[in-house]
Amino acid sequence: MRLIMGKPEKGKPYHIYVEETEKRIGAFREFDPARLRGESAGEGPLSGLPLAVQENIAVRGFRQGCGSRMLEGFVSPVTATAVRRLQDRGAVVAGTTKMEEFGLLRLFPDGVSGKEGGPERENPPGGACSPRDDDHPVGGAASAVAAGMAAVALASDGEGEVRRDAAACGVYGLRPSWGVVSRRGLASVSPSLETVGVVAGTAARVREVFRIIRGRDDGDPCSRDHPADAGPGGRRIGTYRISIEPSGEEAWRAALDSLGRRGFSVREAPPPMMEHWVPVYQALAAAETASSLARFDGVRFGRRSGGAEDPESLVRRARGEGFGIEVKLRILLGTHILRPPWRELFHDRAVSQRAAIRRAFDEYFGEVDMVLLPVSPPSALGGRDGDDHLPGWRNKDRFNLAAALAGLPALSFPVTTGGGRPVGLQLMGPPFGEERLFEAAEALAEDFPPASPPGLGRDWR
Amino acid sequence: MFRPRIGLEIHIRLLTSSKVFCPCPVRYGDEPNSLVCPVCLGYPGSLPVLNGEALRMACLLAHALNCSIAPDLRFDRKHYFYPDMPKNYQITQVSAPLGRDGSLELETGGGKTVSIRQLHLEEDAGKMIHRGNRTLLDYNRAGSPLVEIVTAPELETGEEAELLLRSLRRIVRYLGVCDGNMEEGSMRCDANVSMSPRGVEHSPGAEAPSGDPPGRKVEIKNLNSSRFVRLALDYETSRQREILRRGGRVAGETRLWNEAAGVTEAMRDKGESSDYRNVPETDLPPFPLDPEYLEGVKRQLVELPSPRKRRLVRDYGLSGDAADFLTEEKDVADFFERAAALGADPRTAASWLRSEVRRILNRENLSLGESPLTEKRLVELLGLVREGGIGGGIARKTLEEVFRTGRDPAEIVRERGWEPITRRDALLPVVEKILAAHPKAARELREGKDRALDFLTGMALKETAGRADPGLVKALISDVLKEGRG
Ligand SMILES: [Zn+2]
Repeated sequence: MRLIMGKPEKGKPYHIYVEETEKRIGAFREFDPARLRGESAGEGPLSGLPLAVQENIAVRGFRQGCGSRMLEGFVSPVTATAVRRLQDRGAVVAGTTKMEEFGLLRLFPDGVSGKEGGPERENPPGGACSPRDDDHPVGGAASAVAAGMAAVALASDGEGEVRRDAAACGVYGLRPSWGVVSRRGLASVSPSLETVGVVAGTAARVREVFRIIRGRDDGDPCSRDHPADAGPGGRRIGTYRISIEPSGEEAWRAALDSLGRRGFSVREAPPPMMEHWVPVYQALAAAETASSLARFDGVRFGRRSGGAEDPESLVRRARGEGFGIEVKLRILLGTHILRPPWRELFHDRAVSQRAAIRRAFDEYFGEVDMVLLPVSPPSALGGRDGDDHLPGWRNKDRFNLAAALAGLPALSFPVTTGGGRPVGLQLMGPPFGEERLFEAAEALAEDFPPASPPGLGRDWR
Repeated sequence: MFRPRIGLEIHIRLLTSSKVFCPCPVRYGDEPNSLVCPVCLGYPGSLPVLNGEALRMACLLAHALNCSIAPDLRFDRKHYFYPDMPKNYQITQVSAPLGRDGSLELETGGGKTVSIRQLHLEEDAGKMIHRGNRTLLDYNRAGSPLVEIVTAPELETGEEAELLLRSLRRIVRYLGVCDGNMEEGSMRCDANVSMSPRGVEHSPGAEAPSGDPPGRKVEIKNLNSSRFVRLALDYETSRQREILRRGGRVAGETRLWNEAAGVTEAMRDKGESSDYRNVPETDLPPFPLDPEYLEGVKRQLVELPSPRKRRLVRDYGLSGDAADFLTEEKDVADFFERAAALGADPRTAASWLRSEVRRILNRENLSLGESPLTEKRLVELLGLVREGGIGGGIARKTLEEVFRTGRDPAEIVRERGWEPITRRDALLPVVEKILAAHPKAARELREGKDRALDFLTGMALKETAGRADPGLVKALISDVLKEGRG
């Protein structure tokens, strides 16, 4: 049995390093060095491994704030199954990390939303790991891993948060096949689109953690076992010619070259129905968000507004004060498209389009084994280049959405060329195709070795 | 002329030991908010897990009501903001109910059969309690399993509606899926009433004809006993008939039954939308209801009250009333049939169960199952009457003793010395004493007035505390008079 405390790195105990680094970065929502020092790690392959958990995933005794004022002070009474499985193998929860409110990326730039975003606005994480500036902060989970404050992090991936943030911070991020990792304990906003994902410094670490957290859980009726025959295999990679930012172009070419050299066949094969990804996602996610966030009313838990005269005004005030602008906009959108006449026009059509997208991907993955796509970084959004309308911003984000719509696994990985900042690309496979994604990412890592986080002891790199 | 079209929506609270999507116990009367967990409080990150017992009971009821059953079980979220609803949506079945197109036979009322449009499984809400200017919430009930049954608008009177509820109550009690207690909310009923012009017929189960019907549909709530259902519907149908007779129009609205005033009253319009923005409940995957599973459930089906009643009349020669009484509770019918199998005369057994046994059970507030009276003891008691010659009075006293002491009738009779006196030499002195004490009656009897014989026999029975064999007493009286000794 090892204690986390006293893991020396350049003569500094781990918790001292984390405390100092955290002051600069601010990745954690709740981080309790005393807890970390006092807690001894259990036995197992991950004994003593410092784990960061995004604040919308339940850890008993930690606040489950979901980045929202609505859940200020809400302490979770349970621990998510994925976290529990890692704890059972010896991992120790170092703290919970910050996120955008309920993981919903703000589609509106400041000019539209004013300065009344969620609490994130006041204290953006990212800092050291943020790709550009603080306008679009990345989630704390990837920041914590990139800065070496945690060896691995669990975070949710609905519209690409895990991959987007991992890409921004130069680390690996996995969105597993839908249903393979239990969602018990994840405060889902869009249950059919969201998964618990993994962020780590190497593909090998992501795989190790994924293999522990995956599989059927009685607490999540949608969870299922990973089929045994879905091992590695398949080296045919489809791509799609796209123009990406000049800084990304070089990395893109380098990755294609590397894959070719390492025995993968790469060919042009655009993934199906791309023009539908954004509208279908937008409609379904908004509808599910409006439904799932209905439970936050200030009555049973979370924020309670004082002085309400009747139950209705209590709920109105709690939701009015508790939710940020992006959340409110999505609830409005979702509520409207579930009502006639828009329901049929938008929601019902999106449901059938989604089924078509799934079928099209089934067919597509008969032709190729994986598809290589860019990861849409948060900096791609923001409407600073003339596309000043919501669909325009979302459209730049579209590469992250297909996996959610079709329940596919996707792994984002960093590619660093010419000493520049790492650029995030992603590989997406058929359901349960995680192993082939790891295989390809490991092959690429031979050419683009991941940066080693400064803080962690050698054991955790 | 107008014909009422009444449909019922009935909620059945299932008798499962735990809630429908979480392991919390289903119990009533506990400390408020003591039977709750993150799932039934709708905490972030909690997920529903279906209770197999609730599914089994719902399928059993769907079978009993002759429904066709969906190939898989799918749930939807029905949204409305109300503080007693933890998630502000209810997990229910909208798009694909568990059962469709069933039927329910009314037990009397000319054997009318009413179509069941749909039957589905859903969760209950908590309770909101107003105390002065404070509102309190108790979530113990939140997440309890309910089955909702929707009938076609094929009922025409309050009496038919009451009959339907009583028939359904018997069925759910027979199946053991609900205690059927409307006063305590185990069965809850809302009704809808509209009027259609006479002569315009619809096929059963069909929607109201298109166009503008003269009577809009009125929903009636707060019907918490089957009697109120009858009263409220009779009131409402005559109210609507009167409006239409005067050429007016019936407003589509929700009305509440006011028990004290005996009228229905329009409910204050809360301006609530009836658009529930249903979406599929993606936290619960579709659960396949494979034929093997459904066959297994079907095998648990018991003979239902209506067919059983007919069989009891046919096989045991009982009257309709007697069979109706016996089939009211499954326990009683089972008891009766076991007693008959042990050799009891069916009609005598039925009449004892209906009169003496029921009287004592009611007095002691017991059910037959809880009482010391077993079918073997009843058969023994009836045997003592038929073959052992004990009289009705002794038999009733013996039954009381069975209830009091929990012992066998024969043993009680023997121990108490209640055996009939059947020996001539034992009864002769009694008869002589009675004749001596009542010379007037003896004289009348000699003069051929037979009424006097009954009187004298009664006196002899009284003298022996009911133990004397009445036949023997009569024979002895005649003998003594003939011999001129009286
Ligand atoms: Zn519960």
